[in-house]
Amino acid sequence: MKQVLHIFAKDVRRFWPEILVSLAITTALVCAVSHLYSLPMRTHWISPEDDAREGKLRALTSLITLLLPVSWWLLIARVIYAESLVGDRQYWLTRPYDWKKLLGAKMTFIAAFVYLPLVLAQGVMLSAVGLNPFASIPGMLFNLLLITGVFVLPVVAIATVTSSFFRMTLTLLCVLIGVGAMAAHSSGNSNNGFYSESLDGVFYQLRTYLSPAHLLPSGNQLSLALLLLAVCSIAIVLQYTLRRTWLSRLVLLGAPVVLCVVVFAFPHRALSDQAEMNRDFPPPTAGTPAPVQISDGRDDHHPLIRHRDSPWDNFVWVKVPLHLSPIPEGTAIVSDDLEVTVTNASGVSWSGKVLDLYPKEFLPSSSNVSGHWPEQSRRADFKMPLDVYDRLKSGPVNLHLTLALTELKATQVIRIPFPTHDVFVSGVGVCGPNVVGAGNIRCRSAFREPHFTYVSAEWSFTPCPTSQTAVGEVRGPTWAGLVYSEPAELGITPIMSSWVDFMPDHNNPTGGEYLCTGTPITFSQYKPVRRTQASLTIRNLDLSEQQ
Amino acid sequence: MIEPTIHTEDLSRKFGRTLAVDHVGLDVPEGAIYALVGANGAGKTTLIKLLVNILRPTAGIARVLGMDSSQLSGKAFNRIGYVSENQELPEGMTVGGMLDYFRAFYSTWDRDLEGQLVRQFDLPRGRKLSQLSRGMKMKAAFASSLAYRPALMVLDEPFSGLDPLVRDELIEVLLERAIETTILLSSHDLAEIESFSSHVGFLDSGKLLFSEEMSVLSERFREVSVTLDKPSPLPDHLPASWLQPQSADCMLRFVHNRYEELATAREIFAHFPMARDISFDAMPLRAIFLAIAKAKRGAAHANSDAAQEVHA
Repeated sequence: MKQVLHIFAKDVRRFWPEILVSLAITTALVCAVSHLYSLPMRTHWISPEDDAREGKLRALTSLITLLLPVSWWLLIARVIYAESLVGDRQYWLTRPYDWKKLLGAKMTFIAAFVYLPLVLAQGVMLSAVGLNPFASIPGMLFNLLLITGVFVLPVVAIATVTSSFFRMTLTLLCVLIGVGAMAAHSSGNSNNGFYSESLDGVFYQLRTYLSPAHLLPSGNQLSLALLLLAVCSIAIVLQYTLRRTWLSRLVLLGAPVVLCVVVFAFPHRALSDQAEMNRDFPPPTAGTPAPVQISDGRDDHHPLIRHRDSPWDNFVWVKVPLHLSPIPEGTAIVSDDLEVTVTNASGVSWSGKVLDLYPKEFLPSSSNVSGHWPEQSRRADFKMPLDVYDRLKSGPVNLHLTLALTELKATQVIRIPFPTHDVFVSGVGVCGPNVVGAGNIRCRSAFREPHFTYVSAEWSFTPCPTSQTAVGEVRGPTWAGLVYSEPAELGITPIMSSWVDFMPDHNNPTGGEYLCTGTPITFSQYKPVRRTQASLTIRNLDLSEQQ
Repeated sequence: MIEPTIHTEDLSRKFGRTLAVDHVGLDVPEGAIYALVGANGAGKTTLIKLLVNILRPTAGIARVLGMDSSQLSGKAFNRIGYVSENQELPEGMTVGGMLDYFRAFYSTWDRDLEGQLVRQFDLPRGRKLSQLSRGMKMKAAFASSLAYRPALMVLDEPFSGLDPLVRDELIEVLLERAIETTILLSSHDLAEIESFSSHVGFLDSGKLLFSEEMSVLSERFREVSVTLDKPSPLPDHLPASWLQPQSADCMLRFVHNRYEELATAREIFAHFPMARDISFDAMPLRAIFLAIAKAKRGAAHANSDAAQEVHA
């Protein structure tokens, strides 16, 4: 420990200017974020000058948020290069350095001047918006894990296998370009059924290959962080113990090579859509039936619809009405995915994804559920290629639908009067009106969006006594938060903003369109309890049916 | 039997296809001042880096202070001092800062000796290493490596490029410490190490041509001058120990590398019965190495010519 502290103290003495710069940027971020979130609520029209000022503050905050990791990068690189591991001329190679203590000293430095200031800054930022930092410790630790895996350890690893800051910068640029190319490639494949918008897609694919062995957890961020953490840790320890730079570089290169092989060499999914759904959403069994039954919902009011948006489209929309069985009290069900297979008597078959199932959340009929569709009715919309449609429409077909479902149970219900200022809502965060009369609530939570929450309001159909104005249209309840979320999102700023947007609802029996101060708002939180499937086969369906 | 401070067997190191150190077997006895000499590019620095575990051998073993050199790390360097002309120092530190920093690593650090070395070398404690001349940096490196009284000092071209005054200062301090320290130093300047080395090893193209005590080496090499009664051509087959034989008129000159007065005289009379006068002159180290190098080059040419003849 003595040697660890001795090396640490030497690094602090040597790099105090860099440390001060990093701390100054951290402080500036805290000030900017605290100031930004303490701006008065937009309860009234604000001048263009104020609007511009707020815009500048947001831009400044973004810039500082970008500068902070850059300052960490410089700090980490400088402290690692103080006892560079590449080369054969360094003074420390023939001094009584213990590699474990040297590595310990470097990690202590990073903990002291990257992690500690970050944790303190996050604590102050959370306090500034009224969130309790001590209640957010698990999220804070999870966020640190993500930052360690995605940023800190890769930077340390690259610094340990490069001989200079210039080479390190070049390597980092190459890595960023490589990641960008993979993300772009993955994103480009989204038309082929890939779930992918960004790097998430790469990990989605990687997990698709590795998940039969359950090698990666379900969260993309955590998968990425753990994978990088493992690879970088191995490379760093190898380099500190053996100083075999090529071996360590090989380890570091191995990870992107594996990723490239997965993404580029096998552009098709290893599993079929159905097999993948069966893996992620196990089919119901006799002992554990599906929480909801789906049946053919066609009737005079809800016919089967097929149409083309334009004569030039090479696909046909097919819209199938569905009927749901009653949902048990205290339960909510979310449809995560929906596969459709259409087969005719001569064996011609087509499978695809249902693009829309509205609304995708199912609640008991006693709930204040409303929408364009009656509580127990849904419609599955999918697009069939025109050539396939033309082949299938000539005779009756069998249509098989499989819904991937997540069953959720209500955990807590909180009722608050519609606030005029920020109030703490347990499990959700600090919530307040965004713009009075606009019918939405702004909530701020720590590190992650809140759990999946059903939010309803008792809308008033008479104008409020105060200056609040009507929404302008009848609104109903809404959902906020995420069904599945990791304890924290990767990020420097710990405050997550989300908006509760009450949905337009012309079937709202109250017909209310006023949200007044004191109007009761109910937050019902749900947590997932299991994933399963429900399926339906509609036989002898006539696709040529004209509606 | 006392284990030598440094012992290597078949020690080799390749860089790509180049064999920089070629099956070197070397013993440095305790208390020796061992000079590893050879031309630039002979493999001296590579061999030294293998000995202090900066590089790892491709083949063979090296034992340093009883330890496998590839295991040298951490506390093992409490007993080894290493100074190299190419070594990077913590340039951002002052001389005093560097000594203060290193002091905490060594249980045997002698503060009195440190003070003595600083005074002796006239080191400016408050100046940054980056602001020092090459000679002063080398002095600082010496001070930081001698202050903990290492059992072994390994010096790679320590005097290279230094002015004579600084070089003498360093040698003086080194010799003061030689009583308690085994010293291995490399140099391509033979004159500078001849005066104080106890042992010498000659490295050429990665091969150790010989390794022995300086006194033995000096004893076994003689420049031989033979005066003949009449001019005589050189016979085809002369002993291998006769290096660079040359004859002109009645004079024959060569370097004998296995000199023993009576045996050598008998050998000469066996080949030149008409020898009238023989003189044996002791040789400086530089002359010995030149003779060895030229003889080696001559042998290489002869082998090459022979090979071409066979090929033709």
